[in-house]
Amino acid sequence: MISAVAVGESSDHLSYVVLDKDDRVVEVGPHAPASFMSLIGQNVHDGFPETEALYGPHYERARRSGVTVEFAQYSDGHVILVKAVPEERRRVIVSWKLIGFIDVMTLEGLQASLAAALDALVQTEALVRRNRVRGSLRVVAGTG
Amino acid sequence: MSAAEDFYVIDGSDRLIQVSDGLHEIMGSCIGNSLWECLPRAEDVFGEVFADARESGREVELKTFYAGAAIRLRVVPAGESLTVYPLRLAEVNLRTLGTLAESLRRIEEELSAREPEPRDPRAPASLQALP
Repeated sequence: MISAVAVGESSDHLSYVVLDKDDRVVEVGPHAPASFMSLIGQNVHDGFPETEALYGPHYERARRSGVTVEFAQYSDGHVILVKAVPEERRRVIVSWKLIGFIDVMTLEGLQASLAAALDALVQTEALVRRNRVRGSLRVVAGTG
Repeated sequence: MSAAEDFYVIDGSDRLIQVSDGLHEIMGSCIGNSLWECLPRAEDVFGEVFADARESGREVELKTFYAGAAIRLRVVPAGESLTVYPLRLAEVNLRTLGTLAESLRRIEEELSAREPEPRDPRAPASLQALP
């Protein structure tokens, strides 16, 4: 679904969409790419069928567990941090932030951007894991 | 040379003066302007080989990476002008990590292939560091 995020797009504003229980788009945030507007009422994966397997299971996990799911994902030359927040009626708010992209203009750019993208993926995964453990500990301690 | 082979011609100031029909859509609007304005960051990649061709007065071939692809350039000098025959050998596929890794493997193979002898020693060597 993130394939519409343009290289160089500002990541200062978080983009989001709201999906219903069947992954239909019911709301599009003001900073989400315009292409999402045409998907309102449709299954979000109809717009980006190639990436359904990358994102769909995470949304379902958020619905099933009732807990926010965060993950780093690569697709279409972009590395993004995605957050799926479960809501009432099995809706999910999916927000994302661009954290890296692959520069294919020159060999040097490709190398540097690949290294940076891999680094971003690793660091983000570590952060997500830490947050997950922290959340679990809060639950165990009864403060979550 | 094949009749369908794409080419472009630059003058002694690296100004684009002619493009083949096949390249007209992507480069036609650049005619009369510096090639380096038309192909961002290409001067670092091609500039040295263009200078070699002008200096030696001989045809030069280069295999390198530019704009999402492994490419082969054949550069034919005529005085200060150069006719450049670009051929895209393998493209980066950014779709997923799997397609990216696979396409980078193919690009590395193309850049490492012995024929023709690469003129840019950085290309095959530096790709070996890619995942």
